[in-house]
Amino acid sequence: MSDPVQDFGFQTSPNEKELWEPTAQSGVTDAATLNVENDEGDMHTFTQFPDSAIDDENAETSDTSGLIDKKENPIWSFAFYQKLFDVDTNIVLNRIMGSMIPLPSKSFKSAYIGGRPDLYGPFWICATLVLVVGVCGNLTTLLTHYSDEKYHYTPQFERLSVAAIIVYSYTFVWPLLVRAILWWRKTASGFSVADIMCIYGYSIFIFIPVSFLLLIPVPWLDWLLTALAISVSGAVLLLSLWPAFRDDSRQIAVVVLLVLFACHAAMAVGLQLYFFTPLSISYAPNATESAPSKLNLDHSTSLPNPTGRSFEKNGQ
Amino acid sequence: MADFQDVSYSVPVEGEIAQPQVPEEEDDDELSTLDEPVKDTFIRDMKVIGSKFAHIIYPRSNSLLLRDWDLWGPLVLCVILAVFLNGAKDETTGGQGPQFAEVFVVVWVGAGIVTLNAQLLGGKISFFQSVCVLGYCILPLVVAMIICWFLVKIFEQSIVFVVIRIILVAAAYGWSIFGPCLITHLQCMIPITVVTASVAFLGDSQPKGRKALAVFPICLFYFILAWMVVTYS
Repeated sequence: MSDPVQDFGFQTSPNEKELWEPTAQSGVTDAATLNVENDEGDMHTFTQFPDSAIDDENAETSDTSGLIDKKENPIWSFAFYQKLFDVDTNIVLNRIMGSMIPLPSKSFKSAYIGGRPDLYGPFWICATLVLVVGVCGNLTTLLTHYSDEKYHYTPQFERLSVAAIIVYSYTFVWPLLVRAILWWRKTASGFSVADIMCIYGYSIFIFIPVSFLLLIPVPWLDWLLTALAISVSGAVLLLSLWPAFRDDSRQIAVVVLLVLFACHAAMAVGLQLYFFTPLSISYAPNATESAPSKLNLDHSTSLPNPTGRSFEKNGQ
Repeated sequence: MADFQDVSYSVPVEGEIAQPQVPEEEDDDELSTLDEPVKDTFIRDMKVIGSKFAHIIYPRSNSLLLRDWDLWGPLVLCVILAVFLNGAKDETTGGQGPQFAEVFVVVWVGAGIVTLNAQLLGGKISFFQSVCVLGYCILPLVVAMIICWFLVKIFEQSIVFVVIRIILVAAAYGWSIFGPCLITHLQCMIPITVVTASVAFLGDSQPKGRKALAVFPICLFYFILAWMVVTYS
């Protein structure tokens, strides 16, 4: 339901608000003086009151504001997620920039996240990547068959779901596993699940611009770009995760980080192979023409009647 | 017993025993819907929805229409969109257009997620009002899709045709997102925080420095719909 305050067009002006919720400052200055006379006749005038005497409501709000950093909200509460979406535009842009520049001296986590991980970036970077990869993958198919007169374009909408599953599980489920490894090795208490999700989410940003560049139909350039993107984002990822494994034994740290890098590369290569490799010509509508000739080439000896076989294939 | 005395009054007791009568007034707005014909109710509701549609197509200064949210308009638009887009399937390529349920889910879940995002960022908006506005703002895209459908029926596929389609859908996309900006512009003069359509609506309810963060998902949401419409065959 809509908020009644908004519905009726009320908007409390700052002054009005102050009337109802006096700030601590005005509470002190406007407070009436309290005169206390003791038995000896001395009089003492209290002009300052303790915080608790000002206003119950006021004291409560100031209390919670102090507690926000200390008290963990339960995971099912709205406030828990609100904390993870507590970012401004320039912070998000900074983090995106940071995710594309691996600097050994400057870990992404310490330099950009700094104990305030957000999920806004990861969530919407994933959404954008899914959309961009889906659309560009469709365009790749379209461009490959563009010269083909008989090709009739149909959107491949189901590819979006595949992209969504891959990207979202890599960004939001995989970090749980990474955190589990950290928990198992009992190292790096400074890395929360949100931290790792944040690192992973921002690290895949670079694939968004690269997806557009992959539309260029030059295979070696495509692979070069993918390799570049993998190494840049992988470097950011490993440099940020390195402190988590630093305290562990050297071998295990290296092995785990290599595995993580391999998964990162596998995710990227998988996306490229699935979306940016044009559909093989045998699936195209002109298969009716190409299939018999192909069969002729392959099975010219074993297959006496290639046309019959091709009808079979069409019927499938 | 001195406490009990026989009290007698010389003045007789007078007055009205009956309850004060409330002057009978017919509260037309509240009660008349009970005994009015269904037809009247239906027509009135259709008028409300129609005026909201008109409002999206041609944003005016009287933008308070969308304050009372309803989900009928979005439902109608969503069903039209889903019916038109449903079931483009090419056996040979294995490519599949969006199915009815997929369009439905994209529209409603998308609008829900965009709204939740705005709320998580600290926007002061009610959930259903935002979903309502986002849903009504699909209208330009639906109109573009119906035009595309006629064009497909009339003309042969050609490069000019494709370009016309892309321009058409791009214009509708812009309309879905930025048409409502006019409303905000006008709303700035009215000291009411409720702003009535997508970017304007969600953008204005955000704390400063976060408008772009709230607006970007809206663009993404309409982009996926626009892409569905433009690739519709």
